[in-house]
Order: sequence, then C-alpha cells, then structure tokens
Amino acid sequence: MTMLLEPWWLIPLLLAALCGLVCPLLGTLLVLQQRVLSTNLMAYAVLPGVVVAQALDWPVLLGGMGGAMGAVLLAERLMAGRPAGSGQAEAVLNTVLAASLGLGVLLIQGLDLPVDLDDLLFGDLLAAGPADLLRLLAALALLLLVLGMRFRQLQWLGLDPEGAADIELPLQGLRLMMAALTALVVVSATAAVGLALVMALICAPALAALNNARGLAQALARAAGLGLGMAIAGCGLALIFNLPPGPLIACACLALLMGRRAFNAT
Amino acid sequence: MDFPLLQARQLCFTYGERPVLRDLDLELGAGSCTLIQGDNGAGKSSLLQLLHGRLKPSAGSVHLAGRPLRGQRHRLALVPQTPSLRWHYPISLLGLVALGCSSHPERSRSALEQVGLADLAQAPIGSLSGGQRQRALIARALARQAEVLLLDEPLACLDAASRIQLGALISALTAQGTAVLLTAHGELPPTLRGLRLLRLQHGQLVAQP
Repeated sequence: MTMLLEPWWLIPLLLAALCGLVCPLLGTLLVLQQRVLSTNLMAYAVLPGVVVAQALDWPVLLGGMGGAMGAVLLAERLMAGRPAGSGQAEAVLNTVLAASLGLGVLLIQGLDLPVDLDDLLFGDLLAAGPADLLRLLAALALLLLVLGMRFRQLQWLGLDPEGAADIELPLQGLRLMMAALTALVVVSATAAVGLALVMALICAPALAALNNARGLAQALARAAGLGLGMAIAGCGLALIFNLPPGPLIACACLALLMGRRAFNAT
Repeated sequence: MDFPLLQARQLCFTYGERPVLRDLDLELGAGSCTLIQGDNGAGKSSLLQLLHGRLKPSAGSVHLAGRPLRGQRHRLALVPQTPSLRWHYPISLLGLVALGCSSHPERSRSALEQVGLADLAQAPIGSLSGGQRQRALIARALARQAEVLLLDEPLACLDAASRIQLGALISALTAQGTAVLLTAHGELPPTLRGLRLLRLQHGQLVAQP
C-alpha cells in the first residue's frame, strides 16, 4: 500500500522498461552485424570517458560517448590489416577493452574523484532520476528514427557488407552512425543496468528473438517485447525482494536464453 | 566514339609478393559471353574482383563504357565463388533479391522465375541448398539489371539439370545485351552458346580455339 501511495519506484520502473526496449532493439542490429564484441568494448570504454567528464565538469553523456567512440576507433585502427578470421581482431578488441577498464580505474584513483565504481559497473536504478529517463527517451527516439529512415541500408549492413560496398552504399558513414548510436544507448543505459551488465540486455533478447524470425522487422519487434518483459521482471523482483536490479535483469536475460533453448528442445 | 562495355588495360595485381596478373588486357562488349579457364591459383577470381572493383590493381585500369568504375559499380554484378553473404540473416529469398531493386518488386519475382526459384520465394535464405544459393545470387544480379555479370565458378555446385538451365539462362541474357564473364572448370553445359574462350596463364589471357 505504501508503494502505491508513494510511487518512488515509478522512475526506476520506467527507466528499466525503456532500457528493456532500447537495448534489445539496438542489440538485434548489432548481433546481425557481428558487432557484439566491439559493443562490449564500448561499454567498458565509457568508464574512462565518464571519469574524465566528471573531472572536467563536462556532461557525463559527452564524456561517456567520447570514451566509447575513441576506444572503438582506436581498436579499428589497431585491427586494420590483420587477416580476417584469424582471431587477431578479437584479441585487439579484448586488449583495448581491458586497457579501457584499467584506465578508468587508474583515473578514478589518480584524480581522487568521488566516483562510485559499483554504480557505474552494475547500475543503480533506485538512484536514477528524470535526467536518466530523458536520456533514454532521446536514445529510443533516435534509434526509432534511424530504423525508420535507414532500415534498408541497415539490412544491407547486416546481410551483405561486401554487397553493400558493391552498390556503393556509404558503409563508413553507416558504421560510424551505428557506433555513435551504440555509445549513446550504452551510456544512457548505465544508470539502469551498468556498464558491465548492459550486454545481457543487448544480447539475450536479440538472440531469443532471432530464433526462426522471418524478417528483421519481426526480430526487432520480438526483441523489444522480450527485453521489456525481462527488464520489468528484473526490476519488479528487485523492488519486491530488495535486491540490486541490474544483476537481477542480467540473470533474467540468462533465464530467457535457457528457457528458449528448453522450449526449442520440446 | 564507341567504347567496349568493360575494358581492362595493362592490369597488374600482386598477392603479397607474388605477381598474379601482368599487363592484362581484356575487353567485353555488350551481349558477349566470355569464359576464362585456368589452373587453380592462376588468378581467375582475383581478375573478376578487379574487374568489379572489389580489389584494387597494383597498376592499370578498368573502365566501364569509357569511364572509370568509381560511381558506376552498381552497373556490374559479381557472383563470387564463396559469397560473404550471411545466410543466417532473417530474410526471405524474395526479400534478398528485392533488396537491390526496391522500387521494382516485379523484377525480383521475374528474376526468381528466370533462375527457377519462384516456388521458394518466401523461404528463409538459410534453408537454401548450395546450388540454390548460387542461383539466388544470380537472381539478385538479374533483378538489379546489371549490364555486366561476373560469375565465378557458377556451375560448381549445380547438378546436371541446373547446369543446363543456367547455361540456357546465360545464353538468353547475352542475347538481351548483358555482357557475361564467367570462370568454370570441366565440362560445359550444351546450352551455353556463343562462348569466347580465354585461358589465364602466367598472369595473362590467351585466346583458346
């Protein structure tokens, strides 16, 4: 009854729901474009960007996106010329990922900033405010706009990048746009699920949705629905049992994958 | 002034330190059908990719209708031996073919009929066999109405009936004015008519009787 009279849980629940929509929508595109590992790198590279932004009193969104974009561009530069399929690209991405995390921790200690590393890594829905909600709403609006205006080009990018180059689609521009969108979504989702856990919400609903999907639009709709369910379930359980929502949402995502597999088996 | 539809001049290509093509010249006219044969590793696939603009030559040039390829690559279609296409992608065969010609959906259906895959239009591309995938890519090129069709070993995965069907299709396309350049090993289907035979050896093309 107290919960209904004092709806302090409304913003966290709305934030979780928005996260549950945005992350899987983006994740479906990223899984199909085989960009999951670089997205994981971007998630961790948000950390040093956010720390620098706090030190310089810049907007967190700007710092986080700068860190993520800087890291992915650095990784792409280091990967250039390495043979495709040799595993070297993955090694480069993982090295930059680890270094980004290390740099973030070093900056926190070196600059002696009052940054709560746990909140950044695992999220803290209950401490989130309207600004976080607006950021996620903006990310969702932008993502839907891109999907509406560039749906066909995004299909090419995931289905046949070489073919897309053959018909002279602006591949570099599209990839840069996807990277910027990914950085925006990851930074915006930090408050809800944290940098370390956001990948679960990006990947799991997309994986479950892609199973036997007949088209990209269907996969996107399914992923958004599943993500919304996982996020609300995780957040609801966290509120009821007084547990951290980010880890619960991540565990709900794993349960979704396991459930999907069991369903397929039967 | 009349230009050949596709023209390669003094084309050189080096793979690592190994020279693959040396001062190679080639001209394709509209409605021509050219078959290139050669040993494994002779550079047939590299030549097709150079002509298509996927690879950059170390020297020489490729022109389409007298102008550099840049900005005109959509007028060519390459069906590679091992396509980079992600066959697990959630899209139907018709969706794949239509992706390149969105404003002309009727062309996609007609292209599928031409390659004998109309019955599978709604099938997910992941369910297609190797030979069907090859024909699906040819259908995509047809739907785009490419003026030059570059086919790398198009007969490789096909059964006898499909080879005959593809041979007839290529002959029909050349009769309509499309320039076709293909590579192939072994016996050719009898339906493939009017071929100019070239052999790629020591980095250069030699006419075959």
